[in-house]
Amino acid sequence: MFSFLATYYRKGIIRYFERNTLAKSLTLTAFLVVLGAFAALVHEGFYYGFLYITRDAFFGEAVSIYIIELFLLISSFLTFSSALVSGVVSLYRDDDAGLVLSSPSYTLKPKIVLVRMFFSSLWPLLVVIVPALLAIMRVFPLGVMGFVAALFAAVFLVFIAVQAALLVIYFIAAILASLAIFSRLSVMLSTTLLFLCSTLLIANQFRSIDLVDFFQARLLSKDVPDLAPILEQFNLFPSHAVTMIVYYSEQGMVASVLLSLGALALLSAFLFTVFMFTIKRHLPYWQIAQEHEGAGKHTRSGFRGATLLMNADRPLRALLAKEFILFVRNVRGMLWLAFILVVWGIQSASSFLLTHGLGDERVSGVALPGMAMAFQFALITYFVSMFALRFAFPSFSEERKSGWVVASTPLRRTSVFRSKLYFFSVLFSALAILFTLLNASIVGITGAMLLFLLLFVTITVVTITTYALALGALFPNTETDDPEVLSTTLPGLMFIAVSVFYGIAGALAFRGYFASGAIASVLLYVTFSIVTVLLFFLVTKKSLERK
Amino acid sequence: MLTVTHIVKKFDDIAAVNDVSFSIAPGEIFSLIGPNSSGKTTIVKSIAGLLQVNGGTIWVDGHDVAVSPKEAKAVIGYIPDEPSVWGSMTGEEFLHFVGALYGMSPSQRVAKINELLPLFSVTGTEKDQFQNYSRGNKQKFSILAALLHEPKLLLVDEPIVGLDPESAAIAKKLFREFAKRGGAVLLVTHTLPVAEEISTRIGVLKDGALLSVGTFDELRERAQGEVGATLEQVYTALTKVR
Repeated sequence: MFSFLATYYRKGIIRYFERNTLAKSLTLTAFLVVLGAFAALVHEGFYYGFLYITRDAFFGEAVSIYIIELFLLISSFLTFSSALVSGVVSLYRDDDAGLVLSSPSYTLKPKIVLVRMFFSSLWPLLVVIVPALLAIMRVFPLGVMGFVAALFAAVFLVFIAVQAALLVIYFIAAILASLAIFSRLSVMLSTTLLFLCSTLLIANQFRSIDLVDFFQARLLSKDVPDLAPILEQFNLFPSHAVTMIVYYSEQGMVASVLLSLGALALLSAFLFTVFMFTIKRHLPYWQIAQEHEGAGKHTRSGFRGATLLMNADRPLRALLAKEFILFVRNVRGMLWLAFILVVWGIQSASSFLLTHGLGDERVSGVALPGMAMAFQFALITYFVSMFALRFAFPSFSEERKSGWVVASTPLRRTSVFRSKLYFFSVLFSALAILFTLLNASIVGITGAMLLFLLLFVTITVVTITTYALALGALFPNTETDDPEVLSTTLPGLMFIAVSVFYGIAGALAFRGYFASGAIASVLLYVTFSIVTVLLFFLVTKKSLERK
Repeated sequence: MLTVTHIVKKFDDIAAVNDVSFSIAPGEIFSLIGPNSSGKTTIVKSIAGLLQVNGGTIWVDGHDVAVSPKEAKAVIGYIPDEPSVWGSMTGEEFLHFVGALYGMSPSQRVAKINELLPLFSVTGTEKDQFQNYSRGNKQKFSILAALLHEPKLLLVDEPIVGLDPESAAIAKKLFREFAKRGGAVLLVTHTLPVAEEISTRIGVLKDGALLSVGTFDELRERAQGEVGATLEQVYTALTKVR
């Protein structure tokens, strides 16, 4: 069956390139170039970062290990969390699974979910991990064998994270079923609750750290800090084994490398065995999930946003109300929203940790205005891009089946674009402003800087939203309306790559202005943003009206 | 009310509709019948403004659909073959949404919705979400949505698929009454007994071309069918001739 599916996907790719081959090949090439440039940027960032750190004879080794531990922990936690969100939605969904689940090969569904989630989690991680490992290899004596071992360990880590997420969902489902309260919604809510609790637990592990004490910075009797407290801090997490493989490889401890790699492989195999055993119970849970989906359990009035639509006195207001209703009632979308917000929260918490964990040596953003603000700006752009990729970009393709409703009315199709643009711009701007204020209060920047940052952020959010919607409207996908699949299509990946670069350009313009008062780059960035918005609006308008 | 002149619709190089012409006067129920892939839905979607024709013209109430789509669409009520609506929207919200897009005020919508809901006995289900409706109920709400703004032309693609016998009878009665009040109905179906029962004229479509147009009696005559022959027999004879 898997070979059949592999052939199906392979043929799908060939079919994709059969029409408009040149344009699609150019898009793919551009995407690969952007991806390569992104990987190069990650590599250079790590390389110069590690090079800088190792110059410090006292902190060098300890801080490097700490950074690798933290990086791998966050990466694996994000993989686990996104697998949790994807899994809880896709395991019990009634899409095209009915055919598979009515056949004797019904356990194929969770297996496909596992394989899909593994590969979709693996490649973005590799885009970051491979350049990071190459940077480590250049700075530290990692060696080729150490690099290969660490790479294998990272692949095992992804496999463990994805399997753990699915097992957690099955565990929750089993508990809920035994309490006779199992439903799609109860699994989603319980998983979300568990996710939030585990996030808080992990955050708590690091919240109270005083980095000065942690690295024994005031202990004049020591030549280098003791690594034990750092390693103890992380030894609960599977990502620790990957760090240790890097560390042992640097030290030339081959036996320890193999032992750690073996431990990861064993854990993967154990989880896989449990998974294969657990999926035998998939069908009854799926059946119950469908019962609650359909007849009998009708949810009554009092839905969020109902009055907005009923009181809409103009077509555009009705469209806006529709966008609001569909957004707030989309449980799956809300889970993703919560997931991205939690990740954003983790980033804000790490800012808090860095500024408050330094005790008396605390450095405020005012001391490093350009750097601190540029960093904040780049992060905000990244998170807004994630929201736009998940919600704005797929919104036109998601409506392909119900598109007839608006298309058959006297309303211009541009109105749909406008309503989506207004709705998502306001929503994303509100979130961006909220997090800007939160981060500004943590880092501590002046009022003028904050005002400038807020203005800059709003312009950027509107540009990214327009770009996402325009791309989604110009290249609607006729094969799927699944927002998760749509987000990983070529135009979707192209969107995120270009957005990240746009964000970096904005951050650099920002830094230039605050570091040396260079206003030209800021003006160029703002002009570029406004022209981009207008251009995308006009091109999309023309395209939609022609359809 | 509707005049279709020599329309052609191609998908890539394949002609789904090839030089089709017909017209429907107010008070008429015109049925287009034909096998799968004969171009029925393509014609309806072109009239509704969901597809752009490659040739020919479509006039609705004196407005060219290509030149004045806004004016043309304002007098059309469209019922698709697949009543897909956003699952998290309730039936009542859907009716309000469609009404608002046609420029109806909230009070006008409330009055009209209260008048329409009892027609299909769906009062009480309007606050359920679409994802909880059966196919039949989705179809009923899409029919009500098409009638909401009091159109002059109804485009109905497969009117009774998914409807129970009682609701199918109600739908047929609704279309008849609509025509009796001066409206024009274009019915697209391969449920031949429905076409036979309520149509004033019928067009037989095959491979994108209109083979024959006329009243049922005229078609029977052309097909050299016996008195009492059903539309199915007439249809078989007409499509075999070609």
